[in-house]
Amino acid sequence: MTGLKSFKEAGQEIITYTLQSGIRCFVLPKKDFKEKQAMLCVNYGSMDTEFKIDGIKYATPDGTAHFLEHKMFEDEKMNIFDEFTKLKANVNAFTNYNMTAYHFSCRENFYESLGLLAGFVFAPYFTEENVEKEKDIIIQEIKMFRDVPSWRIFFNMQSKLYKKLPLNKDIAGTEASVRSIDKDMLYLCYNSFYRPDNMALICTGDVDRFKINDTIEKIVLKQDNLHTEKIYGIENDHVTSDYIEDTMDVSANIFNIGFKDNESDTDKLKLMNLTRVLLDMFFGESSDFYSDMYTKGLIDSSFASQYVSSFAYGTSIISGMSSSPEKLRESLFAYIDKQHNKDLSVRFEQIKRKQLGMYIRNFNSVDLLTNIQADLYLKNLNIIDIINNLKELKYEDIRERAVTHFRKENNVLSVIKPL
Amino acid sequence: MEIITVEKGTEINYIHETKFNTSVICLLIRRPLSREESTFNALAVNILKSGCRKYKNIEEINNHLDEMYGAVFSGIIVKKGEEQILQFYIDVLNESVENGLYKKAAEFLKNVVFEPLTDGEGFLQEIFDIEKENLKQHIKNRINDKSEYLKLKTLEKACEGEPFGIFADGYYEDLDKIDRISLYQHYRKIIESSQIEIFTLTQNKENLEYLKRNFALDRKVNVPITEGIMVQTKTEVSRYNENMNISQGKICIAVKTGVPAFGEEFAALLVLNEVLGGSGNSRLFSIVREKHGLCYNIHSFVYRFKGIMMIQCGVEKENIEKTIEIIQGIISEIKEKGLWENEMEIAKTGIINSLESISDFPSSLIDFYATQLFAGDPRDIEAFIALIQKVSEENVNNMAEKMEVHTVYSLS
Repeated sequence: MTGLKSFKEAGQEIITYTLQSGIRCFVLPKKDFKEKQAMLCVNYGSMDTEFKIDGIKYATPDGTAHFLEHKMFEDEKMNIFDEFTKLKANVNAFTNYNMTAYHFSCRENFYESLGLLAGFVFAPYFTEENVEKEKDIIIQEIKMFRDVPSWRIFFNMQSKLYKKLPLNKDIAGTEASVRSIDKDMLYLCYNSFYRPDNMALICTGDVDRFKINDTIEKIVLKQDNLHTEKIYGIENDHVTSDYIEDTMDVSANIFNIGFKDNESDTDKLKLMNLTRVLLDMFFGESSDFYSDMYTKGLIDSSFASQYVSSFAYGTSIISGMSSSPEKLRESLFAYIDKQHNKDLSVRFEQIKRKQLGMYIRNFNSVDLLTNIQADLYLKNLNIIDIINNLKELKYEDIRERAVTHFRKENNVLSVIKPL
Repeated sequence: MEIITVEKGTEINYIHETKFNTSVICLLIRRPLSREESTFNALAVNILKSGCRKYKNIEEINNHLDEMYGAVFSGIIVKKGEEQILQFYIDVLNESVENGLYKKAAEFLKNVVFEPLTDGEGFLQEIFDIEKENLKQHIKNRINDKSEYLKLKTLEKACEGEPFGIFADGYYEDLDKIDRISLYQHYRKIIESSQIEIFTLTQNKENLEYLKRNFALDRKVNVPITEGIMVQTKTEVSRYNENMNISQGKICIAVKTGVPAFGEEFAALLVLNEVLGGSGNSRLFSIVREKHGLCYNIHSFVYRFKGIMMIQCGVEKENIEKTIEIIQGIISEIKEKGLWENEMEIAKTGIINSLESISDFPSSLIDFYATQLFAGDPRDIEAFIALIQKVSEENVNNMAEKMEVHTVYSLS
């Protein structure tokens, strides 16, 4: 075990270190909670379709990371779900752009369940037959999401915001890409990315890190070095088009307004806090913009904003339903223009305090703590960094972010209209 | 849980749990679910959220919430059995962060619920018009989430002629019959005469005294809570299909059992549901998804107050009929042959797991105890778990026999 560090803030501690095998560990103690969770994160997501191993370049079908996630639950001898249930634990997994995560929650048998989790993630069992069978199931998953308006609107927006990064593609791939995946492809990707030094383990609840280490070290051994390099295109600051429209069987116009980060936006920690505070200041429910648009009937209570980011990208998304998304976007830009000359320092302090309260509130939930830390791990951050950084935010930084982030050149309006 | 009577018709349900770093107050106004009232109540909640005498519009309301370290507030309509509940929920950080937040939260709820913004005669025209339009749109929006829409349509058909079939968030065509004055008159009537339940979680017990004083309003409560109605099951299955522009076909099946919302039979129904479609270990999952590869997601769940079990999944359009047959086959098999080995144990463990995790979430705790209260079941979480543990294989087999497939609804 190396590099042990501990941080504490607002009653929440986080301990981080690296195990012999190379797995990065984050332990978040929650003494009074009965629920315990563990999440094993693999630094491999739907974006990672092209990579080099020891200098040799590979291009893999869209949806391979997600396919792997499905197939890891396959075991030659047992039903993994049954085994977890026997231990009174709930197991599940997800794949996003950057990561595949396997997690369970329980109230007892934590270390046994942890052993089971690490055991199945480090024991792939792919056969031609079980890989073939999974394809129909995954295709139904793809089709299910295709009927969800918010899903479709988001990927449409991404397709105009990003040109080089594969962010416009469904996490699960397409029907054709899924059909083209075979057992050998899964093993290639598994062996390239499912390596201890490419993983993190997050454990939250009333747990003992020494027992965690013992459990993991018995199962996960250090592997020989392998040089894996992910290949991404380089984005520029512009979008390919500022508007995209689609139709679905919906009741009204649904929209996403997206702003993407510039290439020069590299301090991800600061950007996350800055952008969240800024979005809340400008477009939150207590903003004069919200109230004005609501009164004019241009938005309803579904109006919301969020900032999503990883090491490679960052996007602000303003979403909701509107009688006229085009008019709303115009009003939004007009509003932003006016803000540049106003003194918003009081509002800045109020929203900063609110955001701080929201982080502390998250400490109430074992589930949220685990998920937030999983997302931060890939950015090499932890939950305490976020709070400390938030406290240090300066009003001048917000002013600057408002100017550099909300521009017409990096903006897309994605709309779904009724048929 | 401790019950403290504020006055006739208003009770505080205090949940002992001090580990959270937030406090919650949840105020429920109980109304019998009826077509006449449903739209009135749904619209009233939205208007109350948009302003009160003290905080005159959404901007002022939300600024006040932000000032309380970002208090989380919601006002929604909840359907519990054959009651329509106007629910107002606020969650604030504990006193360790700032003193007096709990009291501010209690006061805020009183402002919103009991001191609405009016001109004496009715709600303000401007707010009324906006919220009426928003509710119209909200009702139209039901179609956007296809799986929620399908659930609603299936319930509507399965509970035709029963109050439970009524939409609790209102009817489009009823909105134009309401004006700002008649709505305010209605709201005054219900606020004066309805049973109000206040659920709260706080670390500081002294807050309860304040809460009690805050909500002692000398109301004259007289509305009895209606008993739920269960309509006898029938033998013929009703089949509906709606064509839509969608990529995937979707199926929803309502199975009636006629089992009341509490007691041993209900516990057996929960176990049966878990076996059938409650988890990734369930029969539906292992047969429809794992064996036949027909779907990605399939699950079942129970509408507690109606003894209805609902099964939902998404499949290729051309596989809809085949899937329905397979599901019906699974139901028949469980009726005829009973449980497989280990199913009972796995199902009970699954249910107990979820019951145990309730106490780690403030909102789940409140929902559990509110549901228990409405169901007339005095059991706490522990007693409920004991009830599940007692369920025998015979109980489950008897319950399986009561299953009647009532309505099959699909979107294609």
